[in-house]
Amino acid sequence: MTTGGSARRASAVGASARHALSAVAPIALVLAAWEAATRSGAIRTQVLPAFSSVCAAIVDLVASGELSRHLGVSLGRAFGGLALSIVLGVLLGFGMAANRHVRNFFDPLLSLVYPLPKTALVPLTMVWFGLTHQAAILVIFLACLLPMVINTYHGVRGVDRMLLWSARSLGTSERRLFTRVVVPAAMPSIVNGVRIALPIAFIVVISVELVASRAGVGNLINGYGSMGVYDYMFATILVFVAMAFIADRCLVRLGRALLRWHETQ
Amino acid sequence: MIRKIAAASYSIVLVAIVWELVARAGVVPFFFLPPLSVIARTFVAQVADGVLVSEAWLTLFRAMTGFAIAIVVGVTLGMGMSRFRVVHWFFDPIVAVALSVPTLTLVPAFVLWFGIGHESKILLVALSCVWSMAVSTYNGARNVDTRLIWSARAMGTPESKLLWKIVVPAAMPFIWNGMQVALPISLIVAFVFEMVAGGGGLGFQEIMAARFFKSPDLFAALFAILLVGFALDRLLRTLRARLVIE
Repeated sequence: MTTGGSARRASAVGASARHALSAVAPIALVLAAWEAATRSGAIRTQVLPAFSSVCAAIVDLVASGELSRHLGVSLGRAFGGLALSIVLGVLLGFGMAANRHVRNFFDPLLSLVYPLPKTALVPLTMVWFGLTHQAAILVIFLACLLPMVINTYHGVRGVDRMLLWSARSLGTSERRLFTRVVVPAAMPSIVNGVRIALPIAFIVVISVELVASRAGVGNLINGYGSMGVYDYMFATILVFVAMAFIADRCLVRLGRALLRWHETQ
Repeated sequence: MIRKIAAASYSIVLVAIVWELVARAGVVPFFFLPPLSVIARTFVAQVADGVLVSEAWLTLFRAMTGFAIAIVVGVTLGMGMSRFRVVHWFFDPIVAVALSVPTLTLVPAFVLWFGIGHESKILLVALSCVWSMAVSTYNGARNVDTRLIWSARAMGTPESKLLWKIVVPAAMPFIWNGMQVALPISLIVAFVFEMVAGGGGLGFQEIMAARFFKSPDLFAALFAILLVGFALDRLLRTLRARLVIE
């Protein structure tokens, strides 16, 4: 029994390793093609530096601490704005779901700003706060707020009435009803909102830093681009792209761990 | 009816009145928040003399051309992924990475590769939108009821027609979902690219106004951008309701 189980587990590990390998292979192929095209001279290195020299630039940027400084600024802004939007968005979403007056007040305002591409607010916060962290965090917060509010609101409104009725009939107090039934039932939708908001935070932080900033990854990319130091520019791009991807994966994992009890998982 | 409209919009009116009063009272400096009436006058004047209209067309041209390229390439890619295992094997991880990555980081690279004219903007819009089109098309094609395909085959539909007659129409709702996701992305990329690299357009108009502290111009451009976003969103919804039977 145990040997059969461990053998099955071993083969499952083998299968998932093979699966991971088959998923990494195409990306490795693209990178190899990049290296080959630049080495053979098919693409001039002034236009696209070789992958190997970009890797060397990454090592140098990491060693000098330049990258971690700017990455720290960007991630701090992105997660700062995101965290603010989660707190206020969830509060507002609960408020709108619970109270008709709150809903009637905010619903028209939210549908008014809904179709605005939120990066259009970058010049406005630049005028208000200059090239500062506050300006960046404010735009990121505003851009991420909407998905958080909408997802929380729909999560709360979508709570199964049967759950509420049965909890009430079992004598649950209104306060416990909220913390024990409403919040957990709305959780999948809220986590989903965070997953929508995270890439928005990354898009907006890059936009702010390309347009109006003295620090951060976007600023670094822009600086290297205008100085013509393209291997360092692509190195920075590659690192940020990898960070965004890893952040998304971590969030998916976290969501799964948080919602382990939920039936859709 | 009137009560309903009043209830649905009183907060907007309230915010507008507070904005006007606060700005007029001089509580905040003019260049932080000009009165709404001044912004409205600027907006009307700039629409009348054609500045905002021509800049809006410029941005729309870039965003919509890139969007159209993304639809064609993305639908083809999604269909290919659903049909051929090797295409799926190759593109599945690439799409997974590309979807969660902010393509705007590539603005300086695209300036290097394609200059600061239309091409670089259109191509980055296309690159940013293509992945969600591919994923939604793939999901749609995978979701086609196999019984539809079986019965079409049984009735003698050739394989070449199967795609256009069965798979594409059946995947259509998914493809529209992809378009609704990609449309705001196309606008975001176009506006930001114009802010960074210039070359006219509403994004450029707005950032120049900000650099010279011409706040009424800034807000006028912001409202124009809001209007463009609103109009395109509505247009896509209307088209979808007209064209797709769901």
